[in-house]
This record gives sequence, structure tokens and C-alpha cells, in this order.
Amino acid sequence: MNAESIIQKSEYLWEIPQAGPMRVPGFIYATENLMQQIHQDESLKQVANVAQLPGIVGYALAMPDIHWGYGFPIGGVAAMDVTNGVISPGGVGYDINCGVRLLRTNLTVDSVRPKIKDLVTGIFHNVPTGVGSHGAIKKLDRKDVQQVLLKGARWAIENGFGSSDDLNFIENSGILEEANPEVISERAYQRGAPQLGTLGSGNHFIEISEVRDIFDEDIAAQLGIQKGNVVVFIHTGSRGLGYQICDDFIKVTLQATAKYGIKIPDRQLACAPIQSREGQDYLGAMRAAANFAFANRQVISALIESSLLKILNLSPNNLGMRLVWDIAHNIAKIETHEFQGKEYNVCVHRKGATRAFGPGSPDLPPQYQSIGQPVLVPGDMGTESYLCVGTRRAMQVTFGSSCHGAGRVLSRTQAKKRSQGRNLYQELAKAGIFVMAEGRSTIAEEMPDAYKNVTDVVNTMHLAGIIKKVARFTPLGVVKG
Amino acid sequence: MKSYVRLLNHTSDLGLKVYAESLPELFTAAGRALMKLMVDLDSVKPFEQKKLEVQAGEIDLLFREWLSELLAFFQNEEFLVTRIAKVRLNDSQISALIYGEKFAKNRHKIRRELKSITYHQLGVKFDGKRYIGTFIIDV
Repeated sequence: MNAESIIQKSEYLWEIPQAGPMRVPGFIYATENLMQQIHQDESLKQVANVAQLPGIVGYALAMPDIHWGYGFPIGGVAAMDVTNGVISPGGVGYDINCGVRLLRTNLTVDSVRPKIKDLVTGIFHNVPTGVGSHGAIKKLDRKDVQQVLLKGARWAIENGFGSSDDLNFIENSGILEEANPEVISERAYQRGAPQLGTLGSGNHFIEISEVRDIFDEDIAAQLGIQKGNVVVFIHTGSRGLGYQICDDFIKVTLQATAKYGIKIPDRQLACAPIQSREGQDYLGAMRAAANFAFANRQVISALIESSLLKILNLSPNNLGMRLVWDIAHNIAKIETHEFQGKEYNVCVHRKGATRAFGPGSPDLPPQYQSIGQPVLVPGDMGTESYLCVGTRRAMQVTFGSSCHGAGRVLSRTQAKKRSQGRNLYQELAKAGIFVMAEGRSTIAEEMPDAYKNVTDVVNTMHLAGIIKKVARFTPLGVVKG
Repeated sequence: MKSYVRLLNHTSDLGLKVYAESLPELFTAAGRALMKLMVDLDSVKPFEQKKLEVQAGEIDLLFREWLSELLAFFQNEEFLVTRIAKVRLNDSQISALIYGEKFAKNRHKIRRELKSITYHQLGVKFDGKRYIGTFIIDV
């Protein structure tokens, strides 16, 4: 993408003007500094590619954590008109409903720090982690998996993992309606059956963190977050079941793209009209995978809680673990948004981007009506993470969406090169962070230098008025896949 | 010329460019390079033989489907591939014998999870001297 063709619209917003086959312009939220990093890979070209898809409303959006993905950029948002727009499996990604949940506790940092090795080790052994991990719960048969796909987090609760109160604090109450397990391949079922309650590999993690700063006392108090206390983050998704569904439906939509005469600049943007059979089948399958991911994070929460209770010898009341929020950041959802004075029924693709609904949204639980939806932005394992809330402005300009993390800036090979000769475990230990990882390459590839500065990313969205900062966390212990 | 592999600098995922004198060599080298990203191949013994046959409408898609099926051995059966032999190939079909063994956590050190072979920048081409295959893996 030619840097000269990009227009700076404000301190935090840039435009790729509509040109050639683009149906709408591309809008990128970033500071000048972040823009310089963004120019170094092919993500801006990918924003322009997404802008070519039929039925896209307003603009193809990119958040400040944008980086080069496959097809859609990671950190990309696109709202497609439900009547004449398309849905693209590549616009959701392989890890369908990859997401983050935040759990608060009554624990203080002073009581946890001396026991952090025991806690991380206990969780590492209690939550199956890494490639091919399974065995957290008994292997599910086909009927069980179908129930998970239909019921989402509710299935986990009915089977003893957590309490029904948790459902209030999960996006869409932990269940996407109209999931269709009938259109899912046998291979996807087989891959899902042993993997419920497993963390997986790559950038997935469980993190025990300290509440370091509070930016908004009132909202933090309503969310149960207190300075000096300890919280737990979980980052994982729909595991092999989701990867298989995406793979299966890219094949289906590649055929649909040809069948319906849709021109796409990259095969990975394969798509189908939302109203077509292919589009509806993918929607049903994707919702089922999203429900699997909601159930997965719910089971993992319960496994972590049981680890903490046992190691710290506490009662559930004393531990005070409660779900603050569970958010999806690889998903497509049918939502109603007002855009430039007109109401649209749209399918919002969020690929490495989160929902960020503002106060008063009917989709929020009563407890969060006045403050807006919590937005969770984890950084890399060596720095910090943020809790924010969505705003009314997000509803006006980003289809209620925001950033999902720090965003990579180094490739995995560059990160490995930079880590040579360094002992990253020791570096992190010196910073007071105890890390355990299953994959041999994970620590090097996920090193802090591989990511943008998450504070720059969050500040961009905060200053642009899309989200409001509530609290900052720093890691004490991390389990990586 | 022997076949060789170059890692691409993709920001979020892993990309490979594979060079070879013939298409069977290209497909074999790409398959082995893919497995090598996941596991130390020296630790995997060719104890078991399986037959793999893949079809697709065009060479690019055949390349992806072939790699995807090699990955599927691990994803679906926890079977690690270390050797590929007797590759027979035309523009829309490939068959080969696959050797490897069942994954054992105590003997096989897994490097990273490979989610899927994407279609982004996917391609097989001949530059007049050699075949070049490019693919990006979601990790």
C-alpha cells in the first residue's frame, strides 16, 4: 500500500480512499507512531481488499493492533448488509470465537506472590495445555458434542462447571442461537470430542495478574476490581473443531464465490451471500463452534478455580472468584447498527477485534447497563493488560467494535532470531513473572519484543473515544500452550 | 539442485517458500518442511506405513490439499509423518506412501501447533528452471 495515498483524518484516524474495485474506503485507528509500524507489513492492502466485498457498509475498519493476517487483516472489522452482503469464513478465522475471559478474586498480590510457582504449576497440570492436549474431562461422544454446540456455556454449567450466574457475564450469555450442528463434518466432531476444557497452543494462555492501576474507580468497583488484588485471564477458543469448520467452509465458499459471480482479490476472502444456503450453513456452523469455545472457557475457569482452592486451601467464598466478562474476538454476528442516520441489519465480522457496546445497549446484562460492555485487551506475557468499557461513540463509528490485544510486530522467525542467546524465562523471572510453557518454540515466538506496545494500542482507542480505560494489570504468572 | 526451503517473514503466521527441480520433489519437500515446523523429525520413527491419495481441480489447490491432509494425520489420528515415498503426481491428483508413528508425549517434542494451511499467497509455479511452492500456515 502506497503511504502517500493514505489520508490522515485526525490524530487517531487514517483513511485509505475508495479506489478501483473498493466499494467503500478503509478507516484505520492508529497514532502516527503505530502507523509507521503498520506500514511495514501487508495489512493495509488487506484492509483495501476487504473494502471490495459485496454489501460492506460504511468502511472497512482496522484497529490499532492491526497486522498482516490471511485474507482479512488481524484487527479488522467489516459490517455487511444482511440483505445483499456476504459472509466470509476467512473474516472470522480458523479459531472461531477465540476470546478472552477475566475472573476477579479476593486474593491480594502479597498473598499470591510467594506462592506463584505452586499456582502456575498447579494450573499447568490441571488444564491440559499444548498441541494435541486432551483429557480435562471425559471424552465426549457425538451426542454430548452436539449438546455443547447447541448450548454453549450453559452445557458446561449443567455439567458442573461454574454457576448459572456466570452466563450474565458472557457475551451473548455464552450461547449463540441458531447454531446448526447438522452442517458440521465428522472430522470436526472427531477433533472437538477430546478437546473441551483444553487450552491449546500458540498465543493461548492463562495469566495470573495483579491489578496495578485503576483509571475509573466507580466502574472498577462495579466490576469487582480493586487495586492490589489478583485476577485471572484466559485466552483460548474453539480448538480443532473451529479450525476444521473454517477449513471445511472455505472450500464451500470458494465454490459459492464462483457460483454467485463474486470477484475477490484473495482466495482466503472466499465468501457467500448471507442469504444463500452456503452462507446460512456457514453461519449455523460458525455459531456452533462459537458455542464450543464459550463452553471451553467455562470449563477451564472451573478447572482453574478448583486448582486455586486446593493449593491455597480456601473456601469458594474466601477465594471470591467471579467472572467479570468473557469476550469473543474472532466472530461474525448479526447486529443492528445505526450508521449515518440510517438503521442497518448487518453481519459484523470481527477478526482479531472485539465487540465494545456502549452503555444502554439492550445486549448488556442489567449490572453493566450504565457502564457499558467490558472490553478485555491482553498484552504480551511480559508487560501489561487492560480492562476497558465500550462507549456510545463506538456504537456510532466502529459498529460497536474495538481492539483485541497488542498485535504482533515481529514475525515468528524474526522473534526467534532476536531471542537467540537470551534466556527469556530468566528475563521474565527477573521482572517477577513465572512462566510455564508446553511448546518448545512458544516462549521465543511469543516474546514481548514480538508485540506492539499494548498501552499505545489501548490509548489510541481511549483517546479516540471508542473505549474507556478502567484498569491496568501486570502479570505474575503465565501458563502458555 | 537439491530442494530447499525458505521461511517467509509473515507477521502473524508462518509462511514457507519451497524450491525443487520436479513437482514430486516439491510436494515431498513441502510436506517434510511442514512436519518439521511441528516436530523434530529425527525423533519420529517410520514404524507404520499409510497410503495417501489426494485430488483437487488445479495444482495450487492440490498442493494445499496435500499439505492439509498430511497435517490431518496428526490432527485426527495423532500420527506424525517423517517420510514420504513413491510420490505419483499429475495436475489434479497425487498419491504417496507415508511413514511415521503415533504421537507419544514422552518421546516427541512438539514445537508448535499448526492450525491450518491457508489460501493466502498460495501457489505453485515454474520459473523456467525450478518449481516454487508458497504457502502460509495459520499458527
